[in-house]
Amino acid sequence: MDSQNKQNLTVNGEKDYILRVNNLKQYFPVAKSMFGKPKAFLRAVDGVSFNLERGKTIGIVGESGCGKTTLGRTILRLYDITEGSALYTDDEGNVHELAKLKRNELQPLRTHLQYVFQDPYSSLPPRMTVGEIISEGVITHKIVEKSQVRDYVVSVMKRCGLQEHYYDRYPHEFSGGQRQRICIARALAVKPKLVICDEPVSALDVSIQAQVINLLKRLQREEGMSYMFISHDLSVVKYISDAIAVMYLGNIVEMGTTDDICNHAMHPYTKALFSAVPVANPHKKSNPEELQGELPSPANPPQGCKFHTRCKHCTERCTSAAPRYIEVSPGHIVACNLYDDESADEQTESGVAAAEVNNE
Amino acid sequence: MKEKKKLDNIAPSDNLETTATEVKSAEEQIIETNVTETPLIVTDDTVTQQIHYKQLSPAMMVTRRFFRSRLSIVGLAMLVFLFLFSFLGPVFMHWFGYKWGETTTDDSIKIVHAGEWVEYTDAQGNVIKTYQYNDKEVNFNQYAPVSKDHWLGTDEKGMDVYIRLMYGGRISLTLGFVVVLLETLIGVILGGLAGYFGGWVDQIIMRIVDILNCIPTLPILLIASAVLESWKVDPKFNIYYLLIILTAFGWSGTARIVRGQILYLREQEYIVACEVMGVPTWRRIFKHLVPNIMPQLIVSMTLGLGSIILYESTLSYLGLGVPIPYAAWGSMISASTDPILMQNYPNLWIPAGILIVAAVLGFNFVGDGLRDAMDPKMKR
Repeated sequence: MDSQNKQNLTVNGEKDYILRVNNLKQYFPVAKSMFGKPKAFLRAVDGVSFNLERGKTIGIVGESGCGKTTLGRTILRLYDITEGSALYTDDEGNVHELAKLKRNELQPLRTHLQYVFQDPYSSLPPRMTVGEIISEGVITHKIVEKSQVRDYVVSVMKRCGLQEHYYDRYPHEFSGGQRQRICIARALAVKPKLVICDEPVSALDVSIQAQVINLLKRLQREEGMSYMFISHDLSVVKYISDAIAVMYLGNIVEMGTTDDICNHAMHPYTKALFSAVPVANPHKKSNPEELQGELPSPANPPQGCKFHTRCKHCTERCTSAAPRYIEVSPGHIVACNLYDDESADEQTESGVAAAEVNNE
Repeated sequence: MKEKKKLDNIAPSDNLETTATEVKSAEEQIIETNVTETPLIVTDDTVTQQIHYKQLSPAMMVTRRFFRSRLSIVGLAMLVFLFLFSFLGPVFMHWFGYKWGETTTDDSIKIVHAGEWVEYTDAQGNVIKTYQYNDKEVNFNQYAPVSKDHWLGTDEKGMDVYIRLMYGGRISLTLGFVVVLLETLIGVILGGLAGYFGGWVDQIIMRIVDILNCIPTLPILLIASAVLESWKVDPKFNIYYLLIILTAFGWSGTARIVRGQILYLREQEYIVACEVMGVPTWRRIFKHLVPNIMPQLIVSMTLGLGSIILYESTLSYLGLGVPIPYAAWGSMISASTDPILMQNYPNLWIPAGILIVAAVLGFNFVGDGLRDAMDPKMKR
């Protein structure tokens, strides 16, 4: 799949991209030989490429265990990147290669890239007050003068919908939604340019979800931040994202604008995902294209197309040939043999099989 | 009815996030406003609600919960009493004219042991009981009974038991504290290194801990005291060697606790959040990790104090601790090894035993109380 991955996945190269991820790989050693050399790897992220425009939001969707969270954490260099590159362009146009920076070189970039965690309960230190939590980054990176830290933090808190007198209270006194606001305020206090939101609402109940999503959208309008929004909740992603990338087993299988993905899904996996979203209409008979079986282990991914073990339209070709990325319409990219006419011509047998599937 | 209506006004306006505490405080405020007849401030994004919570810092909350438990108060009282008794007791007694010191011998009275009954069996098998006269003379007031002069009598050397109890407490408590502090310091540093950095650092430190745990402490202490004797070390310094050995064998437990906690905390998202934020390593350790292991540490320290005191007593009992003529609770108890002393002079050893039990119990009660009080998940 390497050769296909190397092509730039977005057509218009002139755009102002804040983040360009190219063929990013994150492998974790799972079994070690006697001398500590890894024998087998878990391919959590296996060659992911995408670009994110400044001030826009990209949604990363996929089922549990497909490497969404690892992708986000890898970009933040919480792990050492195995292969590939992640280029971050700051406001002045300086390009930083996140994959190659050393820890101390990364330090100034910590204010640019921030992370909002999934679980608002475990991501706040229990023995610090809200004010201390939010001001920690402000003090570390000297965002404002020491004497103004409190005023600044209070202003950030207000923008995130937290009241001033929460400053001296402890996280355990708050509900999930308010805790997530604290997390957002913490990330926001260092004036980030790109915020990676790792399922920020999946631990919250629905009414609070809407509040937090709206808060994120409002903050994006006000501050011009870019978001990478990781979620398994399609309705949430649809609402907040400008572009969506669908991940399966460490790879992006389909990517395009929100409209492309939600209304003109091409990849069988994306279709299955969307058909699984419940519709709030009791008279409409839903007929979900249920996915059969479990997600294969990323330590031992299937040959060929990784999705072929669960795909309804699986052909013989899928079991051997990894699909290439096809641009079906400008900006809409899909990795599926069904839409790959060129290789169908090359391999006529499988092409016939694919055509048969399409006729069904 | 009026109250109900007002409550309805607040609840939906607070962004649907009205927590239990807020509702409660809102209710409180209503009661207040009913009294003062001032209009109720309704929460809004623009209007800040003027509710003043009584804010408790974690330390204050721990203190409050600690004093809620009767057992921990008892334990604390016992400890306070023991400390006052040991450290201020002798000074206090001197003011009031109690003239004995730790090593002063009461030589005001000479005791002549006139004689004793002796039984022996002759060749025919008859048991003959005779009174044998001797004029063994002792220059000091040995085995004096409990009196106004000697509150708990005197021991074999004519030294005052009551005063020696106080000095013995100094040794036990000081040694306990010093050993536990040293142990904790070493344990936190090494356990912290092992947990925080992992890899080969962890391997080396934890294997050392494993080895230390395999070595039985008591035989080592016995051997060490024999070695010290053969080296002709001044017995005065015995106590320092004892301290070093106890520390060297004691830190491994603390290191294990600390390492386990740090390993657990390192995976916590708020520590990952620190990394995302680029918080410097030292701040991560001292502001995030150490405060979160403090509860476990304090509990293990207080419980450890009791066991150190027991250890010290055991060693003194075996004659390895503080040398005669200096006092230690353990060596005072060792009087009970002589059956005659055990039966006839309980004033020599029972008080020391009671004090040891009191000290260990006190530390355990306080440790238990602290553990309960420091559990952050415990509400109330």
